[in-house]
Amino acid sequence: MKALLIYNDNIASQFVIDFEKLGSTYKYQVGKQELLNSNFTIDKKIDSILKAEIDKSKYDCIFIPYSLSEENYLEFTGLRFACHIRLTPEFNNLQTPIVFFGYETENEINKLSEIGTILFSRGIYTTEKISVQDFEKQMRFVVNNQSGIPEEIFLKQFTERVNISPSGNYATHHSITNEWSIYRWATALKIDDEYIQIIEKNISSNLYFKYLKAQFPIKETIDANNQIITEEGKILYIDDEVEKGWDIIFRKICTLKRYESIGNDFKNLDSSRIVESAITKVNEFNPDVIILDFRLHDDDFENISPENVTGYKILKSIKEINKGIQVIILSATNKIWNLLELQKAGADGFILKESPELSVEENYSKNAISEIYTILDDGLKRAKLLKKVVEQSKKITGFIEGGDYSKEFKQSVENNLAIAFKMLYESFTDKKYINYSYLQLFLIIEQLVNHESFLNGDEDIRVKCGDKEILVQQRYKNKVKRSIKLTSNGKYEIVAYEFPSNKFKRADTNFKVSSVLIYRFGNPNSSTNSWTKIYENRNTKAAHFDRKNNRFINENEIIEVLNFLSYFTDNSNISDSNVAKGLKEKTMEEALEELKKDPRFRK
Amino acid sequence: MKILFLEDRPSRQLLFLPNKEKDVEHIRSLKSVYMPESNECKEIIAQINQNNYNFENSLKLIIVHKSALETRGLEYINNFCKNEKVKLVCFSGGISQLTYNNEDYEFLNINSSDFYTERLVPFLNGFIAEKSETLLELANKEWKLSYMLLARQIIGSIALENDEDVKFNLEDKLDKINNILSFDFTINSENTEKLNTEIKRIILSL
Repeated sequence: MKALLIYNDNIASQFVIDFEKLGSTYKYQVGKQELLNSNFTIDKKIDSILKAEIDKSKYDCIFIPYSLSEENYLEFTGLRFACHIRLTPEFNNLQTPIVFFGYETENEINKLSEIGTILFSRGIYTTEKISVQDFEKQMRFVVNNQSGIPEEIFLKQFTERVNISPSGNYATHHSITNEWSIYRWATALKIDDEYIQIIEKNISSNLYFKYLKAQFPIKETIDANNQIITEEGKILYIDDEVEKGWDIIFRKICTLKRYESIGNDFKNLDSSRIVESAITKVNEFNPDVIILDFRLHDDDFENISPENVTGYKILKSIKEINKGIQVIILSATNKIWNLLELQKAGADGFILKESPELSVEENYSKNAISEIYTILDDGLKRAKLLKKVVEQSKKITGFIEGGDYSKEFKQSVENNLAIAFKMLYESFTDKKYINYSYLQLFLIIEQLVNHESFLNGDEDIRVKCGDKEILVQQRYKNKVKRSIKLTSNGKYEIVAYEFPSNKFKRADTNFKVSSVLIYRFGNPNSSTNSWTKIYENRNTKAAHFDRKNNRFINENEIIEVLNFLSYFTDNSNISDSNVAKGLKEKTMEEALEELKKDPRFRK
Repeated sequence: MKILFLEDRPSRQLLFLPNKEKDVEHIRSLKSVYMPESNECKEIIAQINQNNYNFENSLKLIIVHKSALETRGLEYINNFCKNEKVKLVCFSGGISQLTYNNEDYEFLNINSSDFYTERLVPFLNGFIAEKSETLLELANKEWKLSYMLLARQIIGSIALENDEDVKFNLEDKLDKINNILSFDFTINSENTEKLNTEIKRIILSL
């Protein structure tokens, strides 16, 4: 039989010498120099002892005092040491009986230490009799009563019986979630990288992480080669700890996409400089989807309101550049009010890091990664359309801003563009909204064509072209004259004609817009810039969508109508080519004759 | 100045201290405590990391956020504390278990959430008034119990020890504990029953 004694300087040296007939001994000591190393932790110390310093033989019994600290008994380092033995498979003694020795009772220890419950777990014994003879008897007893069980069941029982809590404060909770999440997802994605190995090393030495690993073993991994992002586009990742694992994970997920990351230098910047740096990168790279870490500065971990968090400020600025850029927030927070604030500010999705509580669900890691593929694919798909929509909308707003319109009119056009954008966004969850968006954009064409700077009059209609007015429709005697005529192929051309006034109701949008296209912009007919198709789509597909046959407005048709609006509002397109081809104004005599017949002027 | 208190993230004090602003104001009002504001604190920490900060001679205790310091800065503080017998408290959110060490000078490594508690203000008051016995007062209100349990472990070892030098060292440790606890009885093998009774009484009262 072979025993192991872990001891410190407070144990009698004679006792240690005598113990050697039962097996090996290991003196636990931590010097001040070690304690003052910025990387020092008790867990790293114990882990390295178990993995590198003590002989990894299979022992029959391990003896440890409750406390290994020479100066503060209540540290109970012996209990922590034993927990490490139970959770460090590399030491080869997971199920080896452990006998604690000291003058306290189990109940007293349990009262004094958070991890005192280890005393009530399988394979743990205690004794107050501290002599080699008693230890020998104790060892015989535990060996005779020892029965091994499958390791998986042993660990399950251990984690259920012993409660090991994470250390620390708010920031540390986030770093636990961060590292745990990186470890879980990198493992699930089968990533083998230097930094992941560092995290793995850290995780594999920290008692709480060891406990989590035993509690939630990863059962399924993902074959990243079988899962790809199908949509085209560029992805940018913004994080102050970009090099610490996440970059490798996102690079793996975004294989074959244009992917870049930024944040390495954020540690030396204050919050406003971080925002500035991120926005410069966004402008340079012009991404379609941005994965944005919520907390990018130390101050963000303090108890501050969401709108003061650096990630929130960057989100707002990105949305000012182009609200079509899809921003996915990466966060360890599970505070719903924070997420709601971010959603209000324009966040398009969330990737929530896997906190240990979430790992209770057996396949959480695998499902979470699959979800990331979907989130990024959906984001790229939305960005492809929405970014163009925003660019065109900005152009249109710019033209309107420079035109001769009232403040209210400008505001109204902007509102309609914003509604159209919102509808488009919704169309990715319910297709019918793309039709509503189309109708909203068409409404802007109608607003414009009825504006006095384009066209005026109800019966006698004149189109404005610079300082000239071209008569395109005239009521004369019992007839209505028009300068343009709808041809069989659906477009208006310059052909003067007339029809009885009793058949005239009112000039429709097609006539008005066509008149403007021909006389204000000098086109030979009205089919320019797809107008004929746009008008037809408005009256067929958009107003009467057919869900059964999946007949909806498509994305190209949205861009088409925006291009049309852009052309329509751009005053540099105005041309006087056709100003002489309108109807002739009435002569003085013809006007007088008309007046005489008007019942209002008869005696 | 008796105490140099370096906290580069002062908002944490408001988060953890039980009486929030009241406690912070109290600490700031203590003439013997120098707790520089955020930027000045960062500047001092940078100087310590570059090993060119001049500690005041009157200093008796340094309290510092450990994560703000590099190993080089920690060594610089260590040398100063060792030479001048100045006590040192390092707190950080990343410290998973409290560690206490009294080799050369008193040193406490403590998690931030265990440091910023209702014990901090009374400890500072006591330290300034020279009524503080040990840094463990900061860590646990049952710090006396910790010494009693330690004493009992040492007494048990003395009984088993044959080596006179080792025995002497263990007895020396016991004497130090006696000085710190100043009980109405001396802790030794004759008084172990009294010690056991006292330990039981305290644990039962918890």
